[in-house]
Amino acid sequence: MMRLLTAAAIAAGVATPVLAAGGAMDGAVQRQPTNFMAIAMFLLFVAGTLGITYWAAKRTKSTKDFYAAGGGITGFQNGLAIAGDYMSAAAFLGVSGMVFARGVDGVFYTAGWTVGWPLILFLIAERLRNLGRYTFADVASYRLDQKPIRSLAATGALAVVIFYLIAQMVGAGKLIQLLFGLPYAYAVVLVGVLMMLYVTFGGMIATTWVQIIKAILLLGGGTLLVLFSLYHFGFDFSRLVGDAVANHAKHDIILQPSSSIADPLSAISLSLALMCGPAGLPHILMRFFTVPDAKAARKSVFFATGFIAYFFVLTVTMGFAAITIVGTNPTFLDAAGKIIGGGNMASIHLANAVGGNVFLGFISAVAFATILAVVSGLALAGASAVSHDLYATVIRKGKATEKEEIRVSRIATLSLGVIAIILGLAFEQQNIAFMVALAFGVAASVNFPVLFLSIFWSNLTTRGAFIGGFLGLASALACVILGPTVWVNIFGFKTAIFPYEHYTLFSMTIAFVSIWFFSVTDKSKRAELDKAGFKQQFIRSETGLGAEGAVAH
Amino acid sequence: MLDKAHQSIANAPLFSELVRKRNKFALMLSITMLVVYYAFVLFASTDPTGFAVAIGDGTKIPVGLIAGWAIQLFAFLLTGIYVYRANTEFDAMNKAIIEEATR
Repeated sequence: MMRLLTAAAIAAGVATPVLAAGGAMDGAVQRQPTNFMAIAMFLLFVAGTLGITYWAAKRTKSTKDFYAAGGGITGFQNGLAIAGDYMSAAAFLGVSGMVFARGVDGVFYTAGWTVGWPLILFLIAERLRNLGRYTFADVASYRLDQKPIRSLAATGALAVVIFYLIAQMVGAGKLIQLLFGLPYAYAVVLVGVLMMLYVTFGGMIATTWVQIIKAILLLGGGTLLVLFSLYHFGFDFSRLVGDAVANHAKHDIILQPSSSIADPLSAISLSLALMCGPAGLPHILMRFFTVPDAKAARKSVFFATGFIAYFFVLTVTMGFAAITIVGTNPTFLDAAGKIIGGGNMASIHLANAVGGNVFLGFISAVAFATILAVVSGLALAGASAVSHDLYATVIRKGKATEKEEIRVSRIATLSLGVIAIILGLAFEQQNIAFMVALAFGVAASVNFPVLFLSIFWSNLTTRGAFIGGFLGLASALACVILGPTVWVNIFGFKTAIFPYEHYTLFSMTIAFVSIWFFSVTDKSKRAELDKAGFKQQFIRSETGLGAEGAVAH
Repeated sequence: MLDKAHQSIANAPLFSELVRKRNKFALMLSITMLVVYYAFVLFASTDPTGFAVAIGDGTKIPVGLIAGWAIQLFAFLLTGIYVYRANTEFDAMNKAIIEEATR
């Protein structure tokens, strides 16, 4: 969702090249001199994670191991992994860059990104864990007709994964050009190959541990960066803010929210995407199946929210510190007084300024590890949609053996990796901001409504979910293509057919209303079965009776 | 349609009590979160200068920044409150319900 905002912020013409990292780093970036320290640190991370993958591969025997790490991840570990999925490079480099450019706007965004988590905990987390096994489609199709609903859910999941992967691959390529001074194509292939290795061999066990390690590195590195920066101001936060005001070109204006936050309709549309986005992202939802029970699912959200909230305090502080430390140091500015490498580089330059070359290398490596971990989670979610939902349930009607299912999953991972590399190379020169807007739009307008109503609404029918879900998908696609981001910025038309940048309010409403309408008017035999199944589902979702347990290793 | 265990849960008064209590609690917390968050959104979008007012004399730290961070902390605290009550009270009820039903 960071990237949705990112995309939005960029397209809204706000001066933030910033938010791009990891999500949508647009336009040409200048290649930096090769940074050997950063490369050495990164290689260390790669060696360590490949070691973990080797260890994980030996423990990955069943489908449950492959998709859900055997259900043996603890609440605390899963909290770190969820936070890791959420703390993308866009959050790390983008938020600090946004604060560097425009001040307190950053905290307006970070507060929004945090409040969705308590809602997920109160309404979704435990029920999801109680009803599902490996994918959110398990839950959505629990009492509905498997074939249409799994096909819908898999389409929604794959759409999110592919749009998101493209954005990540292009972001990774650009970021590595900046951070390591390596050519774009090397970076894209490197990310793609490492992702394939982690997921194909290590499945969810490796993916989870890579995410956990990255989360620890990011939280630790961020804490150090903020401490070093605070040292510069005598550990006086008030002085840090005061100096930022004095040194920023806009002075006191950076303490006010910018005009981009003013329009209420956009604000509501945006906040809906913020809150419902993560509840429709397949790689985040999948994490709830890696813990042994509902209790652990609950705890994982508690820890995740804490880490996420803390991390956002760090990134905003980095941005304010960078205004003084980076913004007044000519080493980091070009002839025009702009920051070298673009606004995304604020925290990277900050690391260099307060910690020297070694620390710069460390923070750069952490930024790259962040992208790699997020991409792996996405690939696994996409592969599960193909193997578990489409292959095992729709095509083989539940008759595939575990071995066959895992094999298909691995083939799907490799295919997704190849697709991601090809698209990453193809989209190098494109503005890919809209990809991210699409990913989140689909998550909030297809996956989330279907999942939410299947859990809570007893009168939901297969027909309603199927038609409504696809209408949600179509309207999200239409809003993005006909909206300002693609119609004006990419196709070059003068005015957008659909005028709003933030469209989730519209596409989500279409999805909910049409699911409702096509359910209540559904008088088929299947509809009776769908409704009759609710009671049993309700009891299981509330109590966990009959829910998947963990396997002992 | 329901098997014996599910039927027994469906009929158990303790089950309706658990569902009622837990849903009421979850809904209350959700509404609290939404009210607090939308108050902040409204504050930021309607009163930018108020957002920028310093929290005290001799400092530039704006109220809005502290409010935003306070909301992040509040979100975390709410999850803690929910998890605490769910882990103790609700889980105990749930355990009793399942044991009764599967005996």
